[in-house]
Amino acid sequence: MSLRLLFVSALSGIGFASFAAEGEAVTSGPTAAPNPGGKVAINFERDIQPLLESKCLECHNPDKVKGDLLMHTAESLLKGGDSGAGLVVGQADASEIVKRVVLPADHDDVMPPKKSGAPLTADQIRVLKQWVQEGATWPAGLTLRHRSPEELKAYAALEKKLPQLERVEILPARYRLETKRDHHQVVVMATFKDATTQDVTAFSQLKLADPKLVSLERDVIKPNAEAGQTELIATLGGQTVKAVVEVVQGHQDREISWRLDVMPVFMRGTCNSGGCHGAARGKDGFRLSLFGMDPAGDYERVTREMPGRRINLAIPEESTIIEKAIGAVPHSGNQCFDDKSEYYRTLLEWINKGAPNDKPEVAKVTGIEVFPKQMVLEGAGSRQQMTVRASYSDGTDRDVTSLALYMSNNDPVASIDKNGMIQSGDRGAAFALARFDVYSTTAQVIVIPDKIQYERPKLAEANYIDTLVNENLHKLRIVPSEICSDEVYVRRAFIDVAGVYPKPEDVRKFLADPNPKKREVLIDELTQRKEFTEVWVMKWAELLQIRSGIAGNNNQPPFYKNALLYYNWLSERIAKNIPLNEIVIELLSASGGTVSSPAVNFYQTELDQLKLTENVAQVFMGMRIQCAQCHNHPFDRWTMDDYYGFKAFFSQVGRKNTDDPQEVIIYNNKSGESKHFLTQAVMKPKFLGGASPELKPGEDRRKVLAHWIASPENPYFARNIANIMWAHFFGAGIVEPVDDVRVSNPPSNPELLSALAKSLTDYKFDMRRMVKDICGSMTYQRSSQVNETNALDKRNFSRAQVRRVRSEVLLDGISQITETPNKFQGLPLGARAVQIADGAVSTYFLTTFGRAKRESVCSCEVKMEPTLSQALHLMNGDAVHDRIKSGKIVARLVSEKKTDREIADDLFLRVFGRSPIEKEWAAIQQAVADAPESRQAVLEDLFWALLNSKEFYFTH
Amino acid sequence: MGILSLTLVSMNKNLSHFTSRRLFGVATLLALTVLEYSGLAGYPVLSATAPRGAQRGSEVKIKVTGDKLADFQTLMFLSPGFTVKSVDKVEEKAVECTVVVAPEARTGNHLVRVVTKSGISHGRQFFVGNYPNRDEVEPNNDLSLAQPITINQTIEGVVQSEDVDYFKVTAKKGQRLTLEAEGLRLGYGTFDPYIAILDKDRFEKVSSDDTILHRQDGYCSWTVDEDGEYFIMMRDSSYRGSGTAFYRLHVGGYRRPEVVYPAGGRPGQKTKVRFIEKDGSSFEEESMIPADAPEFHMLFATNQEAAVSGNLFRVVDVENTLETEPNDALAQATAVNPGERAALNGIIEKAGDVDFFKLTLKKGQKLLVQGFGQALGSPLDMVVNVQNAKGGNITGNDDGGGTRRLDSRFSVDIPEDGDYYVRVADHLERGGANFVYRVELGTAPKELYVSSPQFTINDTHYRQFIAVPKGGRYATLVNVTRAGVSGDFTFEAPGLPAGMKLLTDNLPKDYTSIPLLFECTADAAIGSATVPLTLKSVDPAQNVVGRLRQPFDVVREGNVIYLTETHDKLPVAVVEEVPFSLEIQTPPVPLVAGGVMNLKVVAKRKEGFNAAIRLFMIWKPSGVSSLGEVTIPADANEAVFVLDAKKDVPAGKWKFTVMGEADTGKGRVYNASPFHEVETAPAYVTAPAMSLAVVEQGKETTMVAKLETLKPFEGEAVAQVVGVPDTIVIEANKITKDSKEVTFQVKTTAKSPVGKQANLFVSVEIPVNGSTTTTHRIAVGSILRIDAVRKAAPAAPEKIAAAKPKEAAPAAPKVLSRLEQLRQEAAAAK
Repeated sequence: MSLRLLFVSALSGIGFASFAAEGEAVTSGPTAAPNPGGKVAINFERDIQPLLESKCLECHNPDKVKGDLLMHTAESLLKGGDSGAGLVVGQADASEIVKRVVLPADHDDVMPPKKSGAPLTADQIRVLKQWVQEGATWPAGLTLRHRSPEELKAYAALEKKLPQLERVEILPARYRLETKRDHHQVVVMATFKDATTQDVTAFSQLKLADPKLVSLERDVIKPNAEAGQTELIATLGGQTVKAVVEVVQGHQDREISWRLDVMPVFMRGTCNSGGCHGAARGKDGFRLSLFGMDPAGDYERVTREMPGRRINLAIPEESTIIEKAIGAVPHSGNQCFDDKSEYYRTLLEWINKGAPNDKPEVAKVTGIEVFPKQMVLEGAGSRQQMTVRASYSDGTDRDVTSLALYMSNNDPVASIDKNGMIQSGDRGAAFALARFDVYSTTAQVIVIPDKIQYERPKLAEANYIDTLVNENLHKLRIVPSEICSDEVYVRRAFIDVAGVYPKPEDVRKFLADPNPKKREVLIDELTQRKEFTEVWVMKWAELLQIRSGIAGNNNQPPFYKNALLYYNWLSERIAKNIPLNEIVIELLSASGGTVSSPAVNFYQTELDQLKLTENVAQVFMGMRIQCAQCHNHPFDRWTMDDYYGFKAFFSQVGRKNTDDPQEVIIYNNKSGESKHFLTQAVMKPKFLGGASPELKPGEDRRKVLAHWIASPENPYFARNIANIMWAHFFGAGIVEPVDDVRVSNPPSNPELLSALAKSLTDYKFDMRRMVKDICGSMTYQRSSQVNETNALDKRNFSRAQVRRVRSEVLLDGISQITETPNKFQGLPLGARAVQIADGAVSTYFLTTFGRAKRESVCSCEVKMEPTLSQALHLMNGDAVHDRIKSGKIVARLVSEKKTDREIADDLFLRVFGRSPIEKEWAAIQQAVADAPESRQAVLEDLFWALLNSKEFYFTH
Repeated sequence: MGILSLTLVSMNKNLSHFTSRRLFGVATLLALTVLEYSGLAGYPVLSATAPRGAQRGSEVKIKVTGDKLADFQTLMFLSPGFTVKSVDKVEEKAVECTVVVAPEARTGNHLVRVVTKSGISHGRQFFVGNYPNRDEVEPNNDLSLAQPITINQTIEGVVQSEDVDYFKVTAKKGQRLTLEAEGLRLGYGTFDPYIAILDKDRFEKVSSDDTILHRQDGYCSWTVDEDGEYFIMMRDSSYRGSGTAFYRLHVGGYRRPEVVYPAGGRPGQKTKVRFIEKDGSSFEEESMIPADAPEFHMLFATNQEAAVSGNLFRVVDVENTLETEPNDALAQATAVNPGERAALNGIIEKAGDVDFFKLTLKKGQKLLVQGFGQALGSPLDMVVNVQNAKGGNITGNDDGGGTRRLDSRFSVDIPEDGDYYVRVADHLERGGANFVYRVELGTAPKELYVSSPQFTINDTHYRQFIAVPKGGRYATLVNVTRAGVSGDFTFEAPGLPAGMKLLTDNLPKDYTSIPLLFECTADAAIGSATVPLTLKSVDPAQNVVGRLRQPFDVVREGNVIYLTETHDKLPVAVVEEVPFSLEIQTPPVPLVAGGVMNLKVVAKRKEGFNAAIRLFMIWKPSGVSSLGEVTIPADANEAVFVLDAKKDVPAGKWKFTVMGEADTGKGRVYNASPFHEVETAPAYVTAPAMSLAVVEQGKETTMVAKLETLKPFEGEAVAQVVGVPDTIVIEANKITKDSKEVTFQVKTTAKSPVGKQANLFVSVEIPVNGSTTTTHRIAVGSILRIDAVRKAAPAAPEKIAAAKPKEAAPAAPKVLSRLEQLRQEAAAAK
């Protein structure tokens, strides 16, 4: 590798000697020290390649063929351009490349031209002459490329890092070129010992073992021969890696295809996006199907509407579709691509060939893959090329890097341009998404600051959660927060696990407990409490939208009674610790009356089959497939076929009335089909992201679905439940929002999510064990105090998040702390807000604090944001003041002759789960001393103040 | 619902089958509320009774609350076994009386009404049970406050909002505890009881919410497993409740069967039946079915303590066919001896079970297949199919209705001679020991019944009683339902109070509805009775007896009906005289086809009575229409119904009556007119629509009707175009029987509206019997079009000297912006 180093040193104006020395020091490659006698054997890679790449190739490369001369390969140079052959082997003075460089500096034909920089030095001219004279040897298969100053700079930086090099990869690692149309972009990626990666395609020595078989131009390989196999070889930092390149039918052409070639151009050109011709009514009189979901319809519209105009078979270049696209005529969408682009060529070729439609057996895209799949970029401005390979149903594959669409989910961290070039920005993690045909897939991009002072901390790990979280934090170079104090932990655990505030005696007992494993013991105790069950019943009741009065009409089921029965049904199962997968199976396959078999109320909360389909996907798999109802999902893999195939499971839900006006019977109707919205085709039931099951006629499709959903074959169920549970304890899911799992919103820590899902499955969906894992982890026990590395972290769980306590728990907390019972409609006095069965039952307090109305399955139903009206309600409303008065806590403590300190301690423990600190205690003493005659009022004011403080209604 | 249906059926012994969905019940609650806000002062209001039931063989003091009770006469029970022994206290809003309940009074519900001197109230439910009443004592809404009771008591209580009532009993191991709630069935609202037995640790040993037998009302039975104290809980199933959420909770030790098998037998014969409980346990007995048992008979255990309510049992004179398992496939089908009718009995014993029966049938047979599952208390949601020998489905039904919605009912036409199979299954593929069914099939029974329509929205009780004023009349309407029955019938209402008679005698064969008019002599004594209304065939060969089948809602909330009941007796009373009488006074000319006639009603008022009188047109023959209601204003004595005959009205003589409703200041009272005969006859003359006439505003035109005389008439008739506004003048014209056409001169003015005057017709007054006329409407649908005055052709444009364009004023110098100045300077510089 020292060779590249040498040219960099020589040509970029950076001191040659110093870098050479450094380069030599770190490499053990062959040396080529200059001969003091001036006559040195020419080494192409050392002496000529850098010269040509920096001085000539800027203009004589396949992109920019000045004077019709190409200089990137030996063949092209020999072939020459306008002025004849580029060089004559063995005759330096007859060679054009020598003749031109020796012209006077002000000569019009001097090379490099004046504006491109200084002429060659005498030494350089000498070396060049010598090389031609000595036979102009050019290593077989080597293709040169132009080097920009930036690249040279980057290379210099790379050189410094090379000693840390761990491995080099060619991505993808294997190529298969079918037909002469095929090509593939090559990416070479280096991974260093600190886990950072770098795109080194430009800096590694890339060549082909057999250039006659395959050619390499601008990192793109193309077939040269009919068939054969060779290797692509990349060398960097002393490491050499090889990738197999296979050529099949390299001389034959694949017919241009409407679906495989032309449709992708519309997608890439964003012609068929929702804002342009993909709009429901098209744009300016021309309509394409949104995101190309209907190729047959598009073919009809392009070729049959306005014949002779949209496409002009006689003069293809004058087809409106082409003229508009390249901006040759006015176009609302401006120029989409130019007439040099492959898109233009594709369209033109297709029209030239008579705008043919595809044969029925035309291949379909079966998936796409991106390379690299994960990268860790250092510092802002690092770049990494991403390539996309699509595979087809006929077994072929194609490089569709130039046809795919790209987007980043976090532009400040990593942006991606339309050619798939990723550029790093701020510290953090991002996902770069590539979309082609109906497929989307992502690559994870982690960006860490440049030259960071970071040493991996030695962290205690309680279980696999910590291992995986810490590994991820290490990748991000984030140091997690400390472990929280017992005071913080006991409060947090009570609120999170049981949905109750700890009582003073609970706090005292926990703090006094000398058991080193007391935190685990506490979680064990809390998960056995009825309140634990109730929290999860409430959460599931929200997801299942248990509520009455749907459609705002009491004669429209479900009635309150049905909601209550449904809630009790759920509650009974969760209390008995029946595994969630079993509950889901029972729920989804339920038949019977809404009163006699309450689980069927699931089918009464949503009567619309489309919404029901969407709700099932969202609740049980965390996916929002709504988009695919009308068009293929733009940021996810779901197509309309998937959507209507999934809907087919619910197309045979029958409903009938009974003698009881409140009861409806849900049954398997054994008939009814799901029709594709666009094609009106009857869709076979197909699991979302899974197979199409074999169904007997009349078999209850819901049962089949229910068993699949809750089975390990469904890759989403366990992950979704694990994620929902995780989000409960951390305020954010690993996928966030929890019900928005999609390719373009990947988990922040995929390994963690997989591990949690696996645990949950292994535990047979025993939520208690899962909670113990989570709450026992060091990750859960971290403090909310931040350090400089994790201050901005919200998604990697390096610290506890300060979260507002949810409305029901807060109201129950106030009720418990002030010892005043709640009263809710349809529940006995003293019932807890967590126990409210019906989403339609609420109070002003609960509504203000964002209780879910259960009108949708969206995780956004529960509002956790603090608002002004919440603060005002606590301050001025009856929630706090009246309850302090009617609870008579302070009066009781006073009458029990408690001291100020005891009373203050009691109140602090009740509300904050801790004792007052010195400063607070001093203020209390002062206040009491200021008004000794109204001691009780002052202490009640203290109580009020505590209940109105943020520390009370936030958990930390 | 079991009790209710049974009750009802006992009263309807000869009803051959039920077709109405709302079969059961006697409703009251809704009635009450309607009465209260409609302020029907003349008629008494029965709000509630306390208690709401009694032990049979006991004497009970009943407090009736309501309104307009000051002239209280008696309590009218619609079933036997009750005697009002004394009326102890009478006030405007409350009455106390003592009632003796006979030991043989049927357990279950009975309808009771208040009768006063001025009217009859809506009905309310009154239950008879086996145990003495015990009132609930609050506070008992916590286990620690549970009210101690003993077994074999009936608790009368109320569940207030979010209230839970607890009772405490002591029981020994092995002892049976049975609870049975009457809540919804009491008819005071949609109270939906939930009952349970709890042990001392609050664990529910057994509970019940809804049941098939009693709908929202539940029952449960449990054998005590340990000596000790147990709690009985009563609450609303969804923690609702109110001041009228009354309940009667029977606490006993009897076995509580859900269903019996077979659930049917022949009258006057012994049948061996198995009483099956919810958990599948059962006991067998030989039951004697009384010869006069109703079609839905209530069966009670006789060898042990009977349940408070019995089990439903079909009584039809058809031999039972019992399934012989296995009969899960065609080849194993239980053979049925095909006769006129067959009764198939079986149990869907396990999930997915299917039962088959085989019958040999003839081509052309038309069978009515009636399934009974839920109607008998079985949880089965039956699906019944008739299949051919190859197993191909001929027809079938899931929920065809009948007495219960989920039971099957359908007809099948047998396409060819051969073997056929009846397949019975559960719609949800469930099964169990209590999934009993009975399928009756055969020739559809003949029947005839009448019932009054609902006279107002959401209230099936309004005007559903006969309160005839002394010296006056009361009219009501009944609709006729015939099934396989034709010919004329005669109404009979035996047992009317002295002085009262039913004026309607004959039900002609082609009537689909008919007015019933009751009349009372002026000297009749105040009195009341419940009267069966029957119809006997004029043709002695036809032995079908028609009956009243009047449905009432027991519990209804808005348009949601929870429970209904049907009765076959009319509540009838002679009430005090009312201060007006009515008479129809219309000349004896016929109402011609396509014509109109004014039916004048004249009121005769008593001195001092001058309130408005609402008149109801009780009935019109088919082909005749009129408003349903007109009002005689206060201080006036006449009102007119316009009778409008269709072109195809059948000729005949029809008895008309109108009923008047007036508020006397004390409340509403009713009196009907005597029957008045109106004749319908064919028209004398007719004409098609006149050809379109078009006229410009202010001009004149003619309209010509081509006449066709159908029946000669004497003298001259006046024809007049009807339907144009006053701004168009069309003079009347005269025609005779010989006129072939009549021409009308149409005069319009500038004010006549432009546009089409559609739907015009010619009214012809044809003299009949000299001075009176009968009105025809002919040339119906004629059109007159009025066009705007046509504009005169535009005059040639006047020559106007080409006006010289005004010299343009010099434009004010444009104020330039600084930017513009600079631009101009730059341009100038170039």
